[in-house]
Amino acid sequence: MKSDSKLLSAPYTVWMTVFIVLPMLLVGYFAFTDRSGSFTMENILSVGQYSNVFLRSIWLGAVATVVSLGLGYPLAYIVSKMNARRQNVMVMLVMLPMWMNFLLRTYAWMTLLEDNGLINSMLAAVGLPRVHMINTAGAVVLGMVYNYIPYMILPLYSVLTKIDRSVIEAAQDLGASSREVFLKVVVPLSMPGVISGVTMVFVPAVSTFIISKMLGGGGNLLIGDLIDMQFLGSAYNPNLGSAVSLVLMVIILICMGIMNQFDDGEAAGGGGMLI
Amino acid sequence: MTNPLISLIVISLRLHLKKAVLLEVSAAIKAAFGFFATVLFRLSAGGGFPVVFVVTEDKTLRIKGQQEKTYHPLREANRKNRAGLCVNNIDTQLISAHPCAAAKEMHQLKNTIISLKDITVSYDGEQILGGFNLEIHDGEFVTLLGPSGCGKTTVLRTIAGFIRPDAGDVFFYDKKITSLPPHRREVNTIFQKYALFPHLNVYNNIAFGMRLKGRSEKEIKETVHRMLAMVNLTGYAHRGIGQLSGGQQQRVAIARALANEPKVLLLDEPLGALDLKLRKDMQSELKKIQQQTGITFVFVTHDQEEALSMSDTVVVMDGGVIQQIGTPTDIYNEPRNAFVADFIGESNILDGIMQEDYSVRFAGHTFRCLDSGFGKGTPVDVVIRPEDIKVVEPDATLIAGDVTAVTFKGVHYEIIVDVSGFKWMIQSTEGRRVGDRIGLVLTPDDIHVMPKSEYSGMYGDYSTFSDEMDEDRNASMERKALEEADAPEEKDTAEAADAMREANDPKEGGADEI
Repeated sequence: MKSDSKLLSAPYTVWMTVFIVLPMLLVGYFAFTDRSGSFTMENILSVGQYSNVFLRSIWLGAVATVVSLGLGYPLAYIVSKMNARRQNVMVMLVMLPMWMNFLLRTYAWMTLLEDNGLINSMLAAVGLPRVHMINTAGAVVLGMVYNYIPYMILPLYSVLTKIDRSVIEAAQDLGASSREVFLKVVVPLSMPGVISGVTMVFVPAVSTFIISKMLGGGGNLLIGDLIDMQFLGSAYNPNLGSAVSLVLMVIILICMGIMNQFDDGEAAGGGGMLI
Repeated sequence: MTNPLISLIVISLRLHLKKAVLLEVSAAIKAAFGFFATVLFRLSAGGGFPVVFVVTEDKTLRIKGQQEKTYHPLREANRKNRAGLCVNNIDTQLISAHPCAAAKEMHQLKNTIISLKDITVSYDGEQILGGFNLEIHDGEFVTLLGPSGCGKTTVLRTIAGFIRPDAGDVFFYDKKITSLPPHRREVNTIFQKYALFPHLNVYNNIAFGMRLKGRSEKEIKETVHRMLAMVNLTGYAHRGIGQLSGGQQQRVAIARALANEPKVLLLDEPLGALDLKLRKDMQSELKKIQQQTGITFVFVTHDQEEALSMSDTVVVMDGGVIQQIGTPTDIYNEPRNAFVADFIGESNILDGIMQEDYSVRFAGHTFRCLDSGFGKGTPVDVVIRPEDIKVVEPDATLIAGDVTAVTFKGVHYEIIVDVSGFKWMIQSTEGRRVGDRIGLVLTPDDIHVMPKSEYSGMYGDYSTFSDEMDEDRNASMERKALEEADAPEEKDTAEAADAMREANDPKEGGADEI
């Protein structure tokens, strides 16, 4: 039996080794070597000069995460209280944009936000002044929220629907008003969902490059763009790109570690991870 | 309008000021307000005049009107206060030595604490309760007993406030609470699956209700520890809920509800998920707690044995309708119809015809009985409990039959006898062999006559006994599996075994008499 199950996992083990572990080691190797292949700390140290890019990425990622949480939580909560059929419809609607190609979705926002885009044309038509929206940090955050909010809603929804109805009734029975039930029972019990939602929005938002490229213009360079430039762009320097990736990975690991500290405090509540 | 009102205010103020020193001021004010409201309602309802108020010697206030009624504002306040004290001083040792006097007195007063009037509840167009009426008295242990789907849990949830009835009203004392949300009702519930907060430890679970009420942390700490002592969980305060066994979780749920000092405790099949031994243990523990605190318990169960052994009053329900209300002995000895007779204990139910008062004909013979008032020639249902039947030699009596099945039950044998097609169940301490021919003796005391009802004919003899035996066997196997699953609970099981021995004792005594 045991050898059988080992055999079954062999393809993925091989896949993982070749396409995940090996590339990671390569990234590590590139980060600590120069073009000639000899060991150097220069790449890692020069990441420091891009600290503004790192800070901007983390800041915009954090803002997008908070906005997603603020918008997603009420929605997930309301959906979780609907009857089963409506719940299915709502979950479908949340997932629907994800079926459309990511690039196309973001490109659509470009045409909406442009100075001569749809929104500004409509504003002009009703006699309102045009608003400059494209190529701002706000546009980047909007793009992030729009693209990643389903990853916030779904884990929240799955945790909220799993909360035992009788636990809520018990709280009411013990004298909790609906506000107190929400704050003292629903919110703490949904923390695993919050944690996984935050992780699933924050991580891709921090490392995105398409969104900032399309909606942020040149002035809102993010880590993703930086890495993109080192490998595919004009400033071809895979060693520096690897170093930036490595630092980003460490930062994300630290963030997740901090988040999981919160999660440990909550004993149970049902798994929040949807994937 | 002003004159009687002013005199009323003066009188009641005088009454209250004298006692106010002794009473908690808030209790007095509350009583006064309730009192005013009642009198004002009376005034407006009765057209008002002339209304005469008389202060009687015992300082109660009498209103002379269309209907004379005595109000006891002071006693009301006093009683409330005493009840509060009683709940505050729960101490296992102390109170078991000196049973709470207030609890006894409250029971004697028999004030109605909860009343349901013409409650109608429907789910998805299906009517669960239709015009349901029930009065529950202060300090009473009431059990709602019935098969699943009979509406007993709906009644409980209506009292708790989770169900808003389509029609009818719920009263708490004289106060209409039909539309009061659950969190503002002075009742607490123990849920079937305990419903403890998984994100809080034992201490914070029990403190939950008190924190909402804004009690001081010192007071909360003291109460939590008192409650833990009461449910035998001292030292468990900082355990997580997931670290507790089913029985322990159940006891935390009890402590959590009682820490709120409810006037009424609602229990929704709280012992259903426990294995047999633990259940017996919890039964006696719950009964003890109820006697100590004097809190009104409304207990929902489908287990007739549980209902009989714990309750002051049993409410037998089926199809959303109360079949019978009475003490456990009443319910068992004087079932009102075939449903109650069948649901509570084992019974042989035969078709009979009343010959005259104290004489009923069934199974081809006429017997003397203790029932009268049915009218000559009325068809009736006759109930004979299996343990009441005496077994003799076949030619020494009127009824004789062949033994078709014998089951050893520990305390007694269950013998199925075929008497010209009707299969009787007899419980006897003497075993018989299948195929034996035996005679059955019935004395007038053994025969209980009931009027015919919609249930007549549904529960007859024990010809389907083999099916029931299968069910029995399945149930005991399930129980065994449960016990094995609950293996880590050795200490509890040992305790429970003691409790079970105790619980079985009276039964053995009863069996000896047969």
